[in-house]
Amino acid sequence: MRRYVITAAVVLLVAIGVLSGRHMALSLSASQAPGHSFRISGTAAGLMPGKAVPLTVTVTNPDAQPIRVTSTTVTAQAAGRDCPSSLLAITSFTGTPQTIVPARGHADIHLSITLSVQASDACRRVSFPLSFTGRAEQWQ
Amino acid sequence: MNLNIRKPLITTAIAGGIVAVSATAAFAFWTATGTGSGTATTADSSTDLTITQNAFNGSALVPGGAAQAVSGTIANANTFAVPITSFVASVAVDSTHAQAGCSAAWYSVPTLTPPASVPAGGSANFSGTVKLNDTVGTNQDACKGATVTLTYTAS
Repeated sequence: MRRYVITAAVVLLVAIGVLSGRHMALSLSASQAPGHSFRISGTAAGLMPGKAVPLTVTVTNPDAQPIRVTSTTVTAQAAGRDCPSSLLAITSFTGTPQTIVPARGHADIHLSITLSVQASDACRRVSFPLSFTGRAEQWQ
Repeated sequence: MNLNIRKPLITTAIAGGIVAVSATAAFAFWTATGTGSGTATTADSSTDLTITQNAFNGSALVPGGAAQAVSGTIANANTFAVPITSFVASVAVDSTHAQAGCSAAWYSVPTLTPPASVPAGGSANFSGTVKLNDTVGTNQDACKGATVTLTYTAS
């Protein structure tokens, strides 16, 4: 009889543990996994041919959990017919140095952007539109 | 004897519950994506080239005489190489001799050879010649002892 009681207790505890964990997983999946996103912005000015200019990218985290940025990529578009995006060389971020964005806070990532020496005078006083994409993971 | 069996079973049961929670919590770890936009704006100006002529080592210019060599350097303080697509020189005569009747138009720069480009942060040489043309039938004595200034323009 005692053996049945103990066995039942074991089964009950395991079941509670599994169900609790699954419940947590389902809760997190339903409330956090879909739609997690953060904002990225940044501008650079004073581009001149052959000169690397700092491009400070600001990552803003709207969530209540801190995140660690694992990658950031910048894509440029042409600034008119005579200034194709291929004239720009932009560095990317691959997670190093470690960048933690606090909950409902922001953090900067430092990249650089260089205008090719092949740029013509037509590329003076023009703006290249930039698009940012990035990935992050939950941090603690 | 029963106690010996019960303790390990209870311990196992508790451990099983904890492992189950930990495993599912790790499974719930999530990632996020970010997007945004911005601009990269180019500068509106660059640093002008600096053109310096070397000291003139030629002979004094005389009407119809041989063209005398001039030379110099073009310096580029920019971070990019500057191609030279146009390089010209204009001539001016000092005011005293100009007022005496020496015309700058009597002088010419028959040759002027610029570099194809000036490297970033560097310099390149140019060379040329200058002469005093013989204006037939016109007295050019007013140009004796004149100082001729060449002004170079590159683009």
